[in-house]
Amino acid sequence: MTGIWLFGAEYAIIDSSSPDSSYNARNLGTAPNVKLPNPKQAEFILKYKKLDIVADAVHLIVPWGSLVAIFVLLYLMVGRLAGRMTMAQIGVSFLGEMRLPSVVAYIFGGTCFGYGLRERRLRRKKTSGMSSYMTALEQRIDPRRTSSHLTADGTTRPEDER
Amino acid sequence: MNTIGAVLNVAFGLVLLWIVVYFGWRPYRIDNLRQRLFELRDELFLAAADGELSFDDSAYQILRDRLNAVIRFAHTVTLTRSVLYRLEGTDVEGLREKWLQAVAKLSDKQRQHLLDIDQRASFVLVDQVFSGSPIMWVALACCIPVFVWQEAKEAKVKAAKQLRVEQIEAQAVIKFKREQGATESSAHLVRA
Repeated sequence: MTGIWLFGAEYAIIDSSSPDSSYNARNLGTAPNVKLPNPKQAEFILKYKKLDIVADAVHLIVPWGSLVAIFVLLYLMVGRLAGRMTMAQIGVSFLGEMRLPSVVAYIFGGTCFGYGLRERRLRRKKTSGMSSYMTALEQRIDPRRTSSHLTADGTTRPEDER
Repeated sequence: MNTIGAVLNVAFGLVLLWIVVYFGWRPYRIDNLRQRLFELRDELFLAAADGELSFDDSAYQILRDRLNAVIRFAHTVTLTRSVLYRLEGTDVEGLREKWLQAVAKLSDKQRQHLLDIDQRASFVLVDQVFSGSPIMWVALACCIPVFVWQEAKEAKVKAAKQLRVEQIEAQAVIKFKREQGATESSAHLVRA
Protein backbone atom coordinates (compact mmCIF):
# COMPACT_ATOMS: atom_id res chain seq x y z
CA MET A 1 0.00 0.00 0.00
CA THR A 2 1.30 3.41 -0.85
CA GLY A 3 -0.88 5.70 1.17
CA ILE A 4 -4.03 6.42 3.02
CA TRP A 5 -7.06 8.28 1.83
CA LEU A 6 -8.82 10.88 3.89
CA PHE A 7 -11.59 13.00 2.39
CA GLY A 8 -10.15 12.44 -1.04
CA ALA A 9 -6.59 13.26 0.02
CA GLU A 10 -3.72 10.82 -0.07
CA TYR A 11 -1.44 11.25 2.91
CA ALA A 12 1.64 9.57 4.38
CA ILE A 13 2.89 7.75 1.35
CA ILE A 14 5.30 5.37 3.02
CA ASP A 15 6.83 2.23 1.61
CA SER A 16 8.92 0.52 4.25
CA SER A 17 8.91 -2.84 2.52
CA SER A 18 11.17 -1.69 -0.35
CA PRO A 19 14.15 -4.04 -0.77
CA ASP A 20 16.25 -1.17 -2.19
CA SER A 21 18.75 -0.43 0.55
CA SER A 22 21.94 0.05 -1.47
CA TYR A 23 24.23 3.06 -1.23
CA ASN A 24 22.33 4.59 -4.14
CA ALA A 25 19.16 4.62 -2.12
CA ARG A 26 18.01 7.85 -0.53
CA ASN A 27 18.70 6.34 2.87
CA LEU A 28 20.68 3.38 4.09
CA GLY A 29 17.70 1.38 5.16
CA THR A 30 17.69 2.99 8.55
CA ALA A 31 14.46 4.85 7.86
CA PRO A 32 11.42 4.06 5.75
CA ASN A 33 11.50 5.27 2.15
CA VAL A 34 9.13 8.19 1.91
CA LYS A 35 7.93 8.72 -1.62
CA LEU A 36 7.68 12.44 -2.19
CA PRO A 37 4.35 13.65 -3.55
CA ASN A 38 4.23 14.80 -7.16
CA PRO A 39 3.52 18.53 -7.81
CA LYS A 40 -0.20 17.96 -8.21
CA GLN A 41 -0.37 16.04 -4.93
CA ALA A 42 1.81 18.64 -3.24
CA GLU A 43 -0.50 21.42 -4.42
CA PHE A 44 -3.47 19.48 -3.14
CA ILE A 45 -1.87 18.81 0.25
CA LEU A 46 -0.93 22.50 0.56
CA LYS A 47 -4.46 23.60 -0.33
CA TYR A 48 -5.98 21.30 2.26
CA LYS A 49 -3.38 22.26 4.83
CA LYS A 50 -4.63 25.83 4.54
CA LEU A 51 -8.20 24.65 5.03
CA ASP A 52 -7.05 22.62 8.01
CA ILE A 53 -5.56 25.74 9.57
CA VAL A 54 -8.88 27.57 9.15
CA ALA A 55 -10.80 24.60 10.57
CA ASP A 56 -8.36 24.30 13.49
CA ALA A 57 -8.82 27.99 14.24
CA VAL A 58 -12.62 27.53 14.31
CA HIS A 59 -12.26 24.47 16.53
CA LEU A 60 -10.12 26.45 18.95
CA ILE A 61 -12.26 29.58 18.92
CA VAL A 62 -15.63 27.89 19.50
CA PRO A 63 -14.88 25.98 22.74
CA TRP A 64 -12.43 28.40 24.34
CA GLY A 65 -14.38 31.40 23.09
CA SER A 66 -17.55 30.10 24.73
CA LEU A 67 -15.70 29.61 28.02
CA VAL A 68 -14.22 33.10 27.80
CA ALA A 69 -17.70 34.48 26.98
CA ILE A 70 -19.11 32.94 30.17
CA PHE A 71 -16.40 34.54 32.27
CA VAL A 72 -16.64 37.90 30.48
CA LEU A 73 -20.40 38.05 31.12
CA LEU A 74 -19.79 37.10 34.73
CA TYR A 75 -17.08 39.76 35.05
CA LEU A 76 -19.35 42.44 33.57
CA MET A 77 -22.17 41.47 35.91
CA VAL A 78 -19.96 41.48 38.98
CA GLY A 79 -18.22 44.66 37.74
CA ARG A 80 -21.51 46.56 37.79
CA LEU A 81 -21.84 45.75 41.45
CA ALA A 82 -18.37 47.05 42.26
CA GLY A 83 -18.47 49.37 45.26
CA ARG A 84 -21.98 48.29 46.13
CA MET A 85 -21.31 44.74 47.24
CA THR A 86 -18.28 43.11 48.80
CA MET A 87 -16.91 39.80 47.56
CA ALA A 88 -18.12 38.25 50.81
CA GLN A 89 -21.66 39.41 50.07
CA ILE A 90 -21.42 38.01 46.53
CA GLY A 91 -20.17 34.70 47.94
CA VAL A 92 -23.00 34.59 50.46
CA SER A 93 -25.48 35.43 47.70
CA PHE A 94 -24.13 32.55 45.57
CA LEU A 95 -24.33 30.07 48.42
CA GLY A 96 -27.71 31.47 49.48
CA GLU A 97 -29.12 30.55 46.08
CA MET A 98 -28.00 26.94 46.54
CA ARG A 99 -31.09 25.11 47.64
CA LEU A 100 -31.10 21.45 48.61
CA PRO A 101 -32.52 20.26 45.26
CA SER A 102 -29.73 22.15 43.42
CA VAL A 103 -27.08 20.59 45.66
CA VAL A 104 -28.54 17.12 45.10
CA ALA A 105 -28.60 17.78 41.33
CA TYR A 106 -24.97 18.87 41.36
CA ILE A 107 -23.94 15.79 43.35
CA PHE A 108 -25.93 13.54 41.00
CA GLY A 109 -24.42 15.19 37.90
CA GLY A 110 -20.90 15.04 39.32
CA THR A 111 -21.27 11.39 40.28
CA CYS A 112 -22.58 10.46 36.83
CA PHE A 113 -19.73 12.33 35.15
CA GLY A 114 -17.18 10.60 37.36
CA TYR A 115 -18.80 7.24 36.68
CA GLY A 116 -18.64 7.93 32.93
CA LEU A 117 -14.95 8.80 33.14
CA ARG A 118 -14.14 5.66 35.10
CA GLU A 119 -16.11 3.52 32.63
CA ARG A 120 -14.17 5.10 29.78
CA ARG A 121 -10.87 4.39 31.51
CA LEU A 122 -11.92 0.78 32.02
CA ARG A 123 -12.96 0.42 28.36
CA ARG A 124 -9.62 1.83 27.18
CA LYS A 125 -7.75 -0.52 29.46
CA LYS A 126 -9.74 -3.42 28.03
CA THR A 127 -9.14 -2.20 24.46
CA SER A 128 -5.45 -1.94 25.19
CA GLY A 129 -5.38 -5.57 26.31
CA MET A 130 -7.49 -6.88 23.44
CA SER A 131 -5.98 -4.96 20.52
CA SER A 132 -2.62 -6.77 20.45
CA TYR A 133 -4.38 -10.11 20.81
CA MET A 134 -6.72 -9.33 17.92
CA THR A 135 -3.93 -7.98 15.73
CA ALA A 136 -1.90 -11.16 16.25
CA LEU A 137 -4.88 -13.35 15.34
CA GLU A 138 -5.75 -11.32 12.25
CA GLN A 139 -2.13 -11.36 11.08
CA ARG A 140 -2.21 -15.14 11.08
CA ILE A 141 -4.99 -14.95 8.48
CA ASP A 142 -3.69 -11.92 6.60
CA PRO A 143 0.07 -11.39 7.13
CA ARG A 144 -0.11 -8.07 5.24
CA ARG A 145 -2.86 -6.74 7.48
CA THR A 146 -2.84 -2.94 7.65
CA SER A 147 -3.50 -0.92 10.78
CA SER A 148 -5.32 2.29 11.64
CA HIS A 149 -2.25 3.40 13.63
CA LEU A 150 -4.20 4.43 16.70
CA THR A 151 -2.62 4.06 20.11
CA ALA A 152 -3.00 0.70 21.86
CA ASP A 153 -6.01 1.92 23.85
CA GLY A 154 -7.76 3.15 20.69
CA THR A 155 -7.18 6.88 21.15
CA THR A 156 -5.72 9.47 18.79
CA ARG A 157 -1.94 9.49 18.50
CA PRO A 158 -0.45 12.60 20.12
CA GLU A 159 1.18 13.65 16.81
CA ASP A 160 -2.20 13.47 15.03
CA GLU A 161 -3.96 15.64 17.56
CA ARG A 162 -4.64 19.22 16.60
CA MET B 1 -28.72 40.25 46.33
CA ASN B 2 -30.66 37.31 44.98
CA THR B 3 -30.10 38.31 41.35
CA ILE B 4 -26.33 38.07 41.64
CA GLY B 5 -26.69 34.71 43.35
CA ALA B 6 -28.85 33.42 40.51
CA VAL B 7 -26.42 34.75 37.89
CA LEU B 8 -23.48 33.08 39.63
CA ASN B 9 -25.40 29.84 39.80
CA VAL B 10 -26.20 29.99 36.09
CA ALA B 11 -22.56 30.75 35.29
CA PHE B 12 -21.41 27.86 37.50
CA GLY B 13 -23.87 25.55 35.72
CA LEU B 14 -22.66 26.72 32.30
CA VAL B 15 -19.03 26.03 33.24
CA LEU B 16 -19.98 22.52 34.40
CA LEU B 17 -21.89 21.98 31.16
CA TRP B 18 -18.86 23.15 29.20
CA ILE B 19 -16.69 20.60 31.03
CA VAL B 20 -19.17 17.79 30.32
CA VAL B 21 -19.42 18.72 26.62
CA TYR B 22 -15.71 19.13 25.91
CA PHE B 23 -14.27 16.47 28.23
CA GLY B 24 -17.09 13.93 28.18
CA TRP B 25 -19.40 14.14 25.22
CA ARG B 26 -16.97 15.08 22.44
CA PRO B 27 -14.36 12.38 23.18
CA TYR B 28 -17.24 9.89 23.48
CA ARG B 29 -18.51 10.86 20.03
CA ILE B 30 -15.06 10.28 18.49
CA ASP B 31 -14.78 6.89 20.20
CA ASN B 32 -18.29 6.03 19.01
CA LEU B 33 -17.43 6.95 15.41
CA ARG B 34 -14.28 4.82 15.59
CA GLN B 35 -16.24 1.88 17.00
CA ARG B 36 -18.79 2.06 14.17
CA LEU B 37 -16.00 2.17 11.59
CA PHE B 38 -14.14 -0.68 13.30
CA GLU B 39 -17.30 -2.77 12.98
CA LEU B 40 -17.37 -2.10 9.23
CA ARG B 41 -13.66 -2.90 8.93
CA ASP B 42 -14.22 -6.17 10.83
CA GLU B 43 -17.09 -7.03 8.50
CA LEU B 44 -14.81 -6.44 5.51
CA PHE B 45 -12.04 -8.54 7.07
CA LEU B 46 -14.44 -11.40 7.83
CA ALA B 47 -15.78 -11.29 4.26
CA ALA B 48 -12.21 -11.81 3.02
CA ALA B 49 -11.42 -14.39 5.70
CA ASP B 50 -14.52 -16.37 4.72
CA GLY B 51 -13.28 -16.47 1.14
CA GLU B 52 -15.92 -14.13 -0.23
CA LEU B 53 -13.08 -12.05 -1.71
CA SER B 54 -9.31 -12.05 -1.61
CA PHE B 55 -7.10 -10.03 0.72
CA ASP B 56 -5.10 -9.17 -2.42
CA ASP B 57 -8.05 -7.60 -4.24
CA SER B 58 -7.30 -3.93 -4.83
CA ALA B 59 -10.91 -3.05 -3.93
CA TYR B 60 -10.46 -4.73 -0.52
CA GLN B 61 -7.18 -2.93 0.09
CA ILE B 62 -8.52 0.47 -1.01
CA LEU B 63 -11.60 0.18 1.19
CA ARG B 64 -9.62 -1.09 4.17
CA ASP B 65 -7.09 1.72 3.80
CA ARG B 66 -9.88 4.28 3.61
CA LEU B 67 -11.54 2.89 6.73
CA ASN B 68 -8.17 2.87 8.51
CA ALA B 69 -7.56 6.47 7.49
CA VAL B 70 -10.92 7.69 8.72
CA ILE B 71 -10.55 5.72 11.96
CA ARG B 72 -7.18 7.35 12.53
CA PHE B 73 -8.39 10.86 11.72
CA ALA B 74 -11.90 10.46 13.17
CA HIS B 75 -11.28 13.46 15.42
CA THR B 76 -11.14 15.69 12.33
CA VAL B 77 -14.62 14.74 11.08
CA THR B 78 -16.49 17.96 11.80
CA LEU B 79 -19.03 20.20 10.13
CA THR B 80 -16.47 22.99 9.69
CA ARG B 81 -14.11 20.75 7.75
CA SER B 82 -16.92 19.23 5.71
CA VAL B 83 -18.13 22.67 4.65
CA LEU B 84 -14.62 23.97 3.89
CA TYR B 85 -13.67 20.88 1.88
CA ARG B 86 -16.97 21.00 0.05
CA LEU B 87 -16.44 24.64 -0.90
CA GLU B 88 -12.96 23.86 -2.17
CA GLY B 89 -13.94 20.79 -4.18
CA THR B 90 -12.74 17.34 -3.24
CA ASP B 91 -11.72 14.86 -5.88
CA VAL B 92 -8.00 14.58 -6.50
CA GLU B 93 -6.39 12.35 -9.09
CA GLY B 94 -9.62 10.40 -9.46
CA LEU B 95 -9.23 8.37 -6.27
CA ARG B 96 -12.93 7.73 -6.33
CA GLU B 97 -12.60 6.44 -9.89
CA LYS B 98 -9.75 4.13 -8.81
CA TRP B 99 -12.04 2.66 -6.17
CA LEU B 100 -14.93 2.24 -8.60
CA GLN B 101 -12.63 0.65 -11.19
CA ALA B 102 -11.32 -1.77 -8.56
CA VAL B 103 -14.85 -2.65 -7.51
CA ALA B 104 -15.96 -3.12 -11.11
CA LYS B 105 -13.51 -6.04 -11.42
CA LEU B 106 -15.35 -8.00 -8.73
CA SER B 107 -18.32 -10.31 -9.13
CA ASP B 108 -21.83 -8.92 -8.55
CA LYS B 109 -22.08 -10.34 -5.03
CA GLN B 110 -18.64 -9.09 -4.00
CA ARG B 111 -19.27 -5.67 -5.54
CA GLN B 112 -22.62 -5.36 -3.81
CA HIS B 113 -21.10 -6.20 -0.42
CA LEU B 114 -18.20 -3.78 -0.76
CA LEU B 115 -20.38 -0.96 -2.07
CA ASP B 116 -22.73 -1.60 0.83
CA ILE B 117 -19.88 -1.27 3.35
CA ASP B 118 -18.65 1.86 1.55
CA GLN B 119 -22.13 3.37 1.64
CA ARG B 120 -22.58 2.59 5.33
CA ALA B 121 -19.20 4.14 6.09
CA SER B 122 -20.32 7.31 4.30
CA PHE B 123 -23.57 7.30 6.24
CA VAL B 124 -21.69 6.94 9.52
CA LEU B 125 -19.59 10.00 8.64
CA VAL B 126 -22.62 12.06 7.60
CA ASP B 127 -24.37 11.04 10.80
CA GLN B 128 -21.32 12.11 12.81
CA VAL B 129 -21.23 15.51 11.15
CA PHE B 130 -24.97 16.12 11.51
CA SER B 131 -25.42 14.82 15.05
CA GLY B 132 -22.48 16.78 16.45
CA SER B 133 -23.40 20.23 15.30
CA PRO B 134 -25.94 22.44 17.10
CA ILE B 135 -26.32 24.36 13.81
CA MET B 136 -27.47 21.16 12.15
CA TRP B 137 -29.86 20.42 15.03
CA VAL B 138 -31.54 23.76 14.46
CA ALA B 139 -31.64 23.18 10.70
CA LEU B 140 -33.06 19.71 11.27
CA ALA B 141 -35.63 21.03 13.75
CA CYS B 142 -36.74 23.53 11.10
CA CYS B 143 -36.91 20.80 8.45
CA ILE B 144 -38.87 18.31 10.58
CA PRO B 145 -42.26 20.12 10.19
CA VAL B 146 -41.69 20.17 6.40
CA PHE B 147 -40.89 16.43 6.35
CA VAL B 148 -43.89 15.71 8.56
CA TRP B 149 -46.14 17.80 6.30
CA GLN B 150 -44.88 15.99 3.17
CA GLU B 151 -45.25 12.60 4.83
CA ALA B 152 -48.76 13.52 6.00
CA LYS B 153 -49.69 14.50 2.45
CA GLU B 154 -48.40 11.20 1.09
CA ALA B 155 -50.11 9.33 3.91
CA LYS B 156 -53.41 11.02 3.01
CA VAL B 157 -53.10 9.84 -0.59
CA LYS B 158 -52.28 6.31 0.60
CA ALA B 159 -55.17 6.35 3.04
CA ALA B 160 -57.51 7.57 0.31
CA LYS B 161 -56.46 4.57 -1.80
CA GLN B 162 -56.82 2.17 1.11
CA LEU B 163 -60.25 3.44 2.08
CA ARG B 164 -61.49 3.37 -1.52
CA VAL B 165 -62.71 6.95 -1.33
CA GLU B 166 -63.70 6.80 -4.99
CA GLN B 167 -66.53 4.44 -4.02
CA ILE B 168 -67.89 7.01 -1.59
CA GLU B 169 -67.57 9.57 -4.36
CA ALA B 170 -69.43 7.28 -6.75
CA GLN B 171 -72.20 6.74 -4.18
CA ALA B 172 -72.43 10.50 -3.65
CA VAL B 173 -72.65 11.11 -7.40
CA ILE B 174 -75.40 8.49 -7.77
CA LYS B 175 -77.30 9.93 -4.85
CA PHE B 176 -76.77 13.46 -6.14
CA LYS B 177 -78.08 12.51 -9.58
CA ARG B 178 -81.04 10.67 -8.06
CA GLU B 179 -81.89 13.65 -5.88
CA GLN B 180 -81.45 15.98 -8.83
CA GLY B 181 -83.73 13.80 -10.92
CA ALA B 182 -86.32 13.76 -8.12
CA THR B 183 -86.16 17.55 -7.80
CA GLU B 184 -86.58 18.02 -11.53
CA SER B 185 -89.56 15.63 -11.68
CA SER B 186 -91.24 17.38 -8.72
CA ALA B 187 -90.64 20.73 -10.49
CA HIS B 188 -92.39 19.30 -13.59
CA LEU B 189 -95.27 18.19 -11.39
CA VAL B 190 -95.55 21.65 -9.80
CA ARG B 191 -95.54 23.27 -13.28
CA ALA B 192 -98.10 20.79 -14.50
